[in-house]
Parts: sequence; structure tokens; C-alpha cells
Amino acid sequence: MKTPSITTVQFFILTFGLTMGTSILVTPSGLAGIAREDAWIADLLSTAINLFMVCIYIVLARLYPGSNLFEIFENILGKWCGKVLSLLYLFYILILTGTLLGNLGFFLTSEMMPETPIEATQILFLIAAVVCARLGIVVLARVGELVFPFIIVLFLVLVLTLIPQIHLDFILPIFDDGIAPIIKAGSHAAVFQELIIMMVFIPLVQEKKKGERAFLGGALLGELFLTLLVLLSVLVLGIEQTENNSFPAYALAKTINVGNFLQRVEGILVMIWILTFFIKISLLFFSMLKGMRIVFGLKEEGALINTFSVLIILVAWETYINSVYVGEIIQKVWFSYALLHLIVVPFLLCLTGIIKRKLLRK
Amino acid sequence: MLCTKQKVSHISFLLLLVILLAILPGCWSKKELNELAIVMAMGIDYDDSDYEVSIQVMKSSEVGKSEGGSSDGAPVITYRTSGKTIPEALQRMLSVAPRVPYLSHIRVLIFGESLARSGVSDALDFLSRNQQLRTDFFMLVSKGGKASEILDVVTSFENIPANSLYSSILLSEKKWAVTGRVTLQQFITQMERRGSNPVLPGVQVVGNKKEGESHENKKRVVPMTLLKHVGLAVFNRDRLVGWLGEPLSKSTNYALNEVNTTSGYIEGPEGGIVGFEVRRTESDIKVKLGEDNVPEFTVKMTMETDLNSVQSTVDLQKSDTVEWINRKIEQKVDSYVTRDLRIIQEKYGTDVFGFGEALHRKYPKLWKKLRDHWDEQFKQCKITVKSKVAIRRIGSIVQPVKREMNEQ
Repeated sequence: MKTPSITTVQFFILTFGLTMGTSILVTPSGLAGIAREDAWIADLLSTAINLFMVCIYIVLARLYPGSNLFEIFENILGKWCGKVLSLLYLFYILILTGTLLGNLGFFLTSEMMPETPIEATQILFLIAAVVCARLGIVVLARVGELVFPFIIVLFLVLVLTLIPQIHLDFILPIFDDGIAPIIKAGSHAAVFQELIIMMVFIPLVQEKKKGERAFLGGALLGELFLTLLVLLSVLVLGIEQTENNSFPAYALAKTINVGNFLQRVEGILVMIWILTFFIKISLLFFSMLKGMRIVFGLKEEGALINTFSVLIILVAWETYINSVYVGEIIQKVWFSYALLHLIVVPFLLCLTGIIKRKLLRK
Repeated sequence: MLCTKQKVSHISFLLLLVILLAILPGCWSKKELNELAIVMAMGIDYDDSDYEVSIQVMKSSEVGKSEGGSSDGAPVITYRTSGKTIPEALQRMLSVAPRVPYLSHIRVLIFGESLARSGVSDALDFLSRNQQLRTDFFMLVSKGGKASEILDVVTSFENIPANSLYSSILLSEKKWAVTGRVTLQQFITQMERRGSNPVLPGVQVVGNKKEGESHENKKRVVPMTLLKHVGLAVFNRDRLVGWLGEPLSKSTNYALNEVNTTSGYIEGPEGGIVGFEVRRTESDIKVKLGEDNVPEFTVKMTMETDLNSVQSTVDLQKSDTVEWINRKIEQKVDSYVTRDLRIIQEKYGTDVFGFGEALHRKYPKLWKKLRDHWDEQFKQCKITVKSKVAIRRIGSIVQPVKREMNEQ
């Protein structure tokens, strides 16, 4: 079987989709809650942290060119320790996927389709991801290329139509409470960017150098879009309503009104969320399948698809009991849990890898 | 054998697609237009322990006929129920209404005065929590009465009373500067911030309330009953604390930078009256620290004005005259608006101008000390108004008609 390959542009778009997906719905409220008027600065900080994370990943990828995340684990830590670490990561991805699916279900049923059972919306999205998983990563990459212009155009519509409603006063004073809340909010936001997932797909890119640049570029573009959205939320809704809204970006889309003519367009703008969400959840699904295949040395992952989809939906139902519960978990547990998986472990692995390489040379 | 197996799977796949096609495009919670009662206006009153909710629902069958004027029925129906919470009252609406109230198209929301005086935050919670409601409707307070009274009046110019209220607000905000257009979003932001307090425009029934409920009201050239917009209601956080009359409301709107066009007059140099129209205004709040770090606020206004009626014999061909009028307008605006703002400051002690927020933006450190007792602090601040007026146009004729007449 020929190993599939994806182009740098596709890799760029997938990274972008992963960054934007679901974060675009919820990021502003958390940031505005802590950093107040400076939420956008906090998001810039989070962008910087994310780019730093991507740099760590790139160093890792360079140490073992051609290997994906799970293979790198085994290369650095040895077969058995690597497998254990892979399993821990797989569990992380599983919980993450379930929670995201839960989040999307709650969004759709509480804002748009209150009478539709939440299970129905989630299953529909999962079916899309399952079909995608059956067809392979190359198809997802092409879908990404297809929908990317739509995401960009819709996002521009969102931004441009909101300009008349901006109150520049709303982001003043800058640095009201000093730098501490900005750092807190920025670092919190940064660990919701699971860019490490792209490490599973980076070996698929043929041109290594360009692939690395696409990795950085995709993360940067996605993050800048998010920052713009955070800025707009504060400028249009004000801090109070950004922070107290379950889905500030949707509230933002609801306020669009250009000359009493272009209004009530949030139903169309939801496409941004849905498309990026689809990319994100499919990537997560793929990486889980790949991880399982490597850990257990399976020849094919096809057999796992259905089983895993059931597992994900169960996790979604069990973890996302309601948004208050999830909010509390995110505050108390998820930050350190994600920090461990996204920065601490990759950083340590990086160090070990480099030291190992030096020792071997000697 | 293999071939047929593939065929079977293809066919079953196609079948699955067909079934999905049948299931997926249907809307789970679809509602046809004829199953909905489109709520145009909602009134909320509070009576001892219950919310009394009135909704004005559009009768679509009657609205289409408006052109011919042959319709016999009223274009809207007002339903009224009460409950411990607003949604409960809305649910109870189904006991009298044949359709489900649909809230997305509300144009105006009216609070009864007693509810406004006891605090509207609980009502606002429902309004912002509900997913059907948007934030683009205008809010009003029924002055000296219940919200439901307003929704009972049949208006003759606009067929649907809610639309009448809505366009009155839009227009008077543009042309008159005495009422205001306040949306839910604005109100909540101003209410939740320490350094600002909200205002809401008031509305009142003028004339005979009983007559106004009947369709007969529409058939008269001089309607028995009218809806009148009456100045602004001043809030302290979520409670109504007082009403502003016409001049005070206008001054407040000047300070809030909500004035588009309005008109005024000054006494002419040789007696008589010179009327002017304000075309464009821009106002900005400047903060300065005085003695003992007591903040001082200056409202800086720039206005463009046109002369619109010269009831005097001044010589408008001299630029000195125009200059004089210009200065006179500045003086009048300065003294009147300053006086009005100080009245509001002393009488109600509630910062509806957002001075506190201006202070917060300029001196964040000082604000931290003052924010918890801003209401008392606000009363001691010095407020001044500085306007800069430019007369741009004097209209289609040059000299006043009275002057021309006297010269002949």
C-alpha cells in the first residue's frame, strides 16, 4: 500500500482548521473573564505560546524525520515505555474529542435547534467524521482545501459587518490590572490549542522544510483569526456580555445589522464553526486510529472506526453533562492536564531526544 | 460471486442514502408561519409577587388588508397572563392564544413603571438567557402606568402599534433628541459597569384609555388616544429613580453623544428670536483631576448648525451678526446643558453619562479607589460643558422677512 501524502497547502489548512475549530466559539468568554479589557493582548500572548509549542514539535519532528508522534514516543522512550505514553495520549485525545463533540451539541441545541435531541446533532457530526475516516486523510485534506475559501469569506463577512458596531472605548484602559491577568488568561487559552495532533500528520508532508513552515503558518493564521474575534467581542459586546455569554461568538454574529438590511445572518455564519469543527474532529479521530494501530501493531485501522465512534459518542454523553460542569473541570483540571500533554512532555522528550542523539554520536 | 456481493453492497449503500435523504433535510422542530404567533411587542409588569406579561401579537390575516381599509378586525391582539417567572407567564399564554408565541421579532419591550422602580435585572435575565430573543429591540418604560396599557392602544397611522412605537423611537432619536434608542445590550453594559448607569425612554398613553382600546380610535381624524414619548427615565443600576423632562433629556443625550439633529432658539441681538437647527454633534468627555484628586469632567461638544427661522430684524448679510449668533448659541448650550447635567447630578446622584467610565479609562488607578462609592463621589464632581458651534447654512433666503418688509 502506498503511503498517502498531503501537500503543504493542505497541511497548512488542516493546521488552521485545528486551531480555529471550537475555540472560535468559546475562547472570548474565558479570556474576557480574566484579562478584562486586555483579552486581545492575552490572546496574542497565547499565540506566542502556541508558536513556541509548534517550535518544540518541529524540533521533535526533525530528530526523527518520517516518524509520527506515536513512533517518536517509541523511538525516544523505547518500545514499552513509548507504548504506555502513547496510550496516555490516546486517552487524552479521546476525552478531548468527546468533550468537543459535547460542546458542539450543546451549542447547536441551546442556540439554534432547541427541540432537536442533542444526541441527534452529535451523531450526525460523528457520522461525517466516520465517513471521513473511512475515506482517508487525503480526502480530508482535499475537503479542507475546498472549504477553506468559504471559512475565510464568512469570517471576513463577520468581521467587516461588525465594524459599524464597534465601541473603541470598550478596550480602554489598557493594562488596567497589570500584566498578571494577561499572563494567566493567555496561558490558559494556549493549552486549548491541541497543535500536537498535527505531529501525527507531519510525516505525510513530502517537502519537510515547507511543511514546517506550513505548520507555523497555519497555527499563526488560526490564532490571529481568534485574536481578531476576541477583540471584536470585547469591542462590540463589551466585557460584561462577552464574559457572561456561553457562546460569545454567536452572540456577536447575532448583533450584525447593516442598515436594517443585512441582519439575522448568524445562521449562515455558523458555517464557520461547523466547517472548522468538522476538520478538527476528523483530525482527532484520525490521530486516535493511527495511534491505536501503532500501539497495537495492527495492519489496518479500518476495523476500529465503528468501535471508536461509539466510544467517542459515549464519552461525549458522559463527560459533557452540562456546560457548568465542563466549565468547572476546565478551570480546575484541564489546564494542568493539557499543559502536561502539550508542553511539558514534548519538551522533556525533546531534551531526551537531543541528549540521546549526542550520546550516540560519541 | 464477488461481483454480485459488491453490487449488493452498492445497492444497499444507495438505499441508505435515499433513507438519509428522507430523514435529514426535514427540520426536527419546524414551525410553519401559520403555527406561530409573531410577537411584536412585549410588556412586563410586576404585581406583588407575579410577573404580568402582555404580548402584542400580529394578526397576519388582518395586516395584509390595511391598504383598502376595509378590515373590520384589529390588526393585533394583546394577550395577558401572569406567572412567577416570565417564561411561566408565556407558557400560560397558550391557555388563551391558539398559537405558540414566537419572540424573535419583538420590536419593542415595555416595562411598567412599578417594575422599573423595583428593579429590572430579574426580567433582564430571562431576556438575555432566552435563545429566541435577539438584542435588537428597543426598550421603553411606561411612565406612571403599566406596560400593558401601552399595548392596548390602537394606533391609526401605523397599523401595528408596536411598529408605531418602533419607528417613533427611530425618528425621534434622529430628529428630536429627547427620547433615546436603547437596546438590551447597551442597557446591560451600562447597568453592569460601575461607572455608568442606564437610561430608558418613556412612553405614556395620552387621552382616554378605554377609547384607545377600540378600533374606533382608528376611524377618527383626531384620535381619542395617542401614545406619547416622554423624555428619559433615569436608572440607578437596575432601578428607576426618576424622570427627566424634555430639556433635561436633551442635555443628557448631548452628553451621551446621542444627538443627531435637533433644534433650538436664542434671543436675537435686536429682540426677536433666532431659531437654529443642530445638524451634527459630536461630544466627548474629558477628565481632569482637580484639588485632592477630585475628578472634574468637561463635556466637549462640537456642533454644526443651520439657521432655520429668523423671527427678528437682524442683518444677516454681515458676518459679524452670524458670528454673534454663533457665540450666543455656544453660550446658551454651555449654560443650559451644564445646568441640566448638574440638576441630574444633584437630584438623582446617578451617573447616567458614563463619567465614571471616562475616569476609569483615563485614570485606572484612581478609579480603583473610587469605584466602590462612585455614587457619592459623583455628586461632588465638577461638571462643565464646552461647546464649539459652527453655523454652516442660513437657508434659502438671506435677510429675515421682517427686515425686508420694514425696509420696503
